[in-house]
Amino acid sequence: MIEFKRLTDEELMFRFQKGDENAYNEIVERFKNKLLNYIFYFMKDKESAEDVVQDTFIRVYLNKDKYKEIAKVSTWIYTIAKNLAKTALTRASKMNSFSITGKDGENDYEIKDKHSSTDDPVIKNELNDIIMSRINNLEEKFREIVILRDIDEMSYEEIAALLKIPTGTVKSRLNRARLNLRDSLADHIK
Amino acid sequence: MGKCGKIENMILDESFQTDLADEKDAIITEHVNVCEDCKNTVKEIKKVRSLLKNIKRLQVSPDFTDTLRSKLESVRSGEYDIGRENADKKTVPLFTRIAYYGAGIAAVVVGMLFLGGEEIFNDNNGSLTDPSLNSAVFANADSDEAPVKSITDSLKNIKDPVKDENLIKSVSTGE
Repeated sequence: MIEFKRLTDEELMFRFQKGDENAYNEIVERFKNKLLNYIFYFMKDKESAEDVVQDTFIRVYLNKDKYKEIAKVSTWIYTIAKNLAKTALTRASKMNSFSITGKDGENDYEIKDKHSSTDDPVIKNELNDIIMSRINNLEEKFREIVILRDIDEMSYEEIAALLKIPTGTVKSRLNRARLNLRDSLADHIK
Repeated sequence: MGKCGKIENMILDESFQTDLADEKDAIITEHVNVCEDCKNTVKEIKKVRSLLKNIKRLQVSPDFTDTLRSKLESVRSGEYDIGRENADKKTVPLFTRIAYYGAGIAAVVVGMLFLGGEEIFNDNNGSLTDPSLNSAVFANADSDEAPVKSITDSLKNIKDPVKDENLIKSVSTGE
């Protein structure tokens, strides 16, 4: 019996391309929560983010043969998810006559209350909410990198490939993002 | 910024491309050994990273996998054709859609001009430009049912171009 947990993402994808649906299930297991955390910071809403993540996996299922091993599976899947999130946001902004965001990096909203409600076990303490809120207030180019690196634990190279920027720029932005967060979280890091 | 600020300035300079929380850098190491301010800066940045690493991650709902499975079943059976939906969007580019909308609007305007001419727009006794239409709508903006009634009432004030004898006369005589 194959131990899917030991296979790399690329090996899983290869098996899935050959028709092994268990490999697909393992890919879903591996990425579902990471993608949710990444997409949440675009959508600002867990339910919408989850819809985008599901659609991402449907795209992966339907387009498995389009994946080529020249890119990492994670880069491919995150790119699909990001594109779907942006499309969903564009549709939502067309449907709403009011804007929920300010200029890039100047979000004028907080994470919705329902995500900090006591019956949601995911976010339940105050510090967690504060940190998420501060991440949320970062400029998009910094926010995205912090989530990918510090929360989703992607490598510099994966992030660089996903965002189409040099690895050095990833590191540079990480420092700047953390410096910004150090200031906004000053009371909590002393 | 601390009294020294050398490390902070280095961070703000995009040419500094070392991850301070994860990587060693000879210049940084050498400097923090003699500068307490910058040593604290590096320590704080590492603390931020530690906080972020320990943040509670969002988890998908318990029914996530079941929902995904049922969506995939729908895809297989053709009920939920996400690929087709996407393909439809790609076959109608933005320019084409704008052209369609433009042509539609132009056809309506030409039609109105052809059928009603200036009579419709200039008739002060009740026409499509009847201000009572707007006022009726806005006056009842808070009501669920009233606007429908008010709009219908206002429509009664609009002269039916076909029954308007003056209009028929002007059209038939070409004046």
